[in-house]
Amino acid sequence: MTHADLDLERWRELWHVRQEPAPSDLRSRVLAETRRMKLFLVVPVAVTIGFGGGYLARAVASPDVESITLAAAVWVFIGVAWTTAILNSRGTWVPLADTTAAYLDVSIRRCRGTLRGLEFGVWLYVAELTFCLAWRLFGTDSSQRLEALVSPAFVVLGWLGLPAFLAFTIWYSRRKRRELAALLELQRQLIE
Amino acid sequence: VRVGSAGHVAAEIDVSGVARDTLEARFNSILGANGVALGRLAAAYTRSASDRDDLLQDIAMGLWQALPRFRGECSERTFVFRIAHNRGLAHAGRQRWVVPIDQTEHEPQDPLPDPEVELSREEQSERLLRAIRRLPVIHREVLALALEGLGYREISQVLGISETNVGVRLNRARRGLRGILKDRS
Repeated sequence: MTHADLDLERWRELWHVRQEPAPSDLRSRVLAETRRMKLFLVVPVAVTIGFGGGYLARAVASPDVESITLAAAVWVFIGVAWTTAILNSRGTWVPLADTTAAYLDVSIRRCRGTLRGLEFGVWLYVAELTFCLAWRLFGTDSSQRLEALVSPAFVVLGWLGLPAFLAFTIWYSRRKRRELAALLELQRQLIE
Repeated sequence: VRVGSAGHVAAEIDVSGVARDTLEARFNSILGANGVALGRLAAAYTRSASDRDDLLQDIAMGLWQALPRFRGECSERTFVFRIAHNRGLAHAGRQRWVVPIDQTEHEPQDPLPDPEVELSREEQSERLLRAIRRLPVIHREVLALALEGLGYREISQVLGISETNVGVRLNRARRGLRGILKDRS
């Protein structure tokens, strides 16, 4: 046996001294996580049906210009969001092969997809807010405009929501960028 | 319609076509047979016990999702370790814990009297794990699998690289580990 083989044998013995038991609740944690993921899939569909269906029902019930315009705008936003999300998630579902390189490739794609999604999310939020603002300002008479701007919904979603959303996006983007850099470094090491 | 970051999840969690009881029994049997080894592998990719448990959960999740698609193309051990390794790698990326590859390239030195004889086996084992964690991931992975008792062929199947490449990486990993252990002694 060479020195290298002896080393490996010695390390192997020491390695097996370690008993690293899996947490006893691992199975239940996995099942709980599966349920959470399924719920995570249901939420965007529920939001689409709730918002889109709600405004559509309103437009059908009272087919005036205001209701129809609002329903159309809501469905345009929903359509843009779904289309972008579907296009963005292409190639990120499962690895193309059962190799580390393929898995890493998918992880990198997911990371890049998340970054693109975050950027798109900011633009969509701003566009929706602008639309709502314009809707309230031009849809009401001048005496009620100031009132509309300080309404609870506007304060929460606009004046407080936008800075909070931007702060979260910046924080999460930075985190994802660092993760992407680490994954790219791993990919570089794998190729070498 | 499945969308966004949840899309890949949807593709993986569809177990409706497989009898759930059979799947659960198989999942439990795999965890039972490989739990301790997976724990050791997870420890090599993480820096704390809670982090290790998170990774183990992630690995178990990966197993649960991939099991319906496993058709015995490779041995069960290869299948399990491949998932563990891939999840470990992604975990290291998420933790931004990637050691540059040239940081631990040590030249082997002449063997010195072993300083480890004074330490208990548990302490030596802990020291070994800490040293392994300082290796670049691509060396860490190949070494951890070799320490688990996998041969070149199995390691090459787990990692998706050639057996020659396994040999090269293992040699470098060994050299790096020896250097780290000497530095720390």
